[in-house]
Amino acid sequence: MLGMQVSFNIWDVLINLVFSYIATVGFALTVNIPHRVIHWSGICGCAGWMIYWLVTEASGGRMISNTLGAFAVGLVAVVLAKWKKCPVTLFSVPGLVPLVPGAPTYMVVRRLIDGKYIAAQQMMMRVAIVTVSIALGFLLSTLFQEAWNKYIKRLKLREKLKK
Amino acid sequence: MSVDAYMKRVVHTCLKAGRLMLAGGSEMYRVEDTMRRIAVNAGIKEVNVFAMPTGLFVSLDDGECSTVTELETVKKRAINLELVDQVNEFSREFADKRIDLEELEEKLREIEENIPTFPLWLQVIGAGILSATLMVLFLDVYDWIDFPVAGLIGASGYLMDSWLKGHTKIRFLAEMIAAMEMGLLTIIINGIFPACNVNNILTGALMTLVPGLALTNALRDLFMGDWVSGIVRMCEAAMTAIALGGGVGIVIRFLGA
Repeated sequence: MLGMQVSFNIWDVLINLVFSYIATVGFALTVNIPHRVIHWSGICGCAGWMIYWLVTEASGGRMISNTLGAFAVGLVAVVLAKWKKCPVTLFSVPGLVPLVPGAPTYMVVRRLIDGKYIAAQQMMMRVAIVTVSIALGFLLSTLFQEAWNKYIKRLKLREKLKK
Repeated sequence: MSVDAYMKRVVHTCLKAGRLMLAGGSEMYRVEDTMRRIAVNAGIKEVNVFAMPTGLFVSLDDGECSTVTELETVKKRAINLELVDQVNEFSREFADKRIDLEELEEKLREIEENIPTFPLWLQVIGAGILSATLMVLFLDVYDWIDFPVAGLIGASGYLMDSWLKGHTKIRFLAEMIAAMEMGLLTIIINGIFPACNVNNILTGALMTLVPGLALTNALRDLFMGDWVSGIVRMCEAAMTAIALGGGVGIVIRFLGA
């Protein structure tokens, strides 16, 4: 994956950037996000999708790209939540939506309808792998959040000791 | 005011705050944390709270002779993250002593009576643009013929789902019927305009009803050690996905596409 040649079409980048933002904002509207953070939840989803897309374009494989995408969503969500002083869920719920394996899940249904059970099983495995790797990336970002909280606590303690 | 009456008030405030957050779709650890903070900041010595997706328990102990324990079930649920944010904000204000217990009660009652939501038309538009843009992102082909159709069908499915949710108590039925409606509409549109691709349109349109909140919260609950709610929400997400797939499957199977 690293050191590979990647050629970008500026049109592709632009479409992915804008559409992931719009899609996240659209989902945020359906779950009633507070007005003041609606733009930032879009940014969060955009960051996650762009990381996922870039890693996929660099032929990073399904698992690593989803893990890194979910990790990015969690990371951006934590930072934004600290900054805007509101729950992390406001950013992570819409942010993870573009990463949800919608297309493979539909394909599972489609193949089951067509009676292609073996192909459906293969697709189901793909859905499972993607879901697990999203969970993994999200877990890593939770770890980051804990480390951050501990760091802040220690910083405050040190300031108190100085006084 | 006697000690017992004061503790009763604190318990009721805690339960109301917890119920609003739970109904809004918060993760368990935040519900428990908020309830505990409200009670501790109200001056109660020993506080025990336990939250599940279907109910809340609070037990307060003043350190001497009286204990108050109450439980409340949560049946009504409406995903609304603004509610979570507001209750969180009130609890912060209460912790900073900017408002007292009476004002907190007043604010919670106010928000309970008129829950802030976006108007339905805006939500439907959100669902429409979500399905249209996600279709392009997922399929990685710039399929501009299906783009508006996917938006239209996603919006109609979301409208159907939210309308049915007000009329039935059976869980997952609304999702299933909305998915059936989306499949039916897609097949009709495909019949009129054969250039449309049924699979592409449905991939995008079904994303409007995807259990994004249930899945994210399930993961967070599991990582925070709230096993009961984590597994329950995992199950909810899986059941919703099955309902969506089943609804679309039935229609495509019988009408053929």
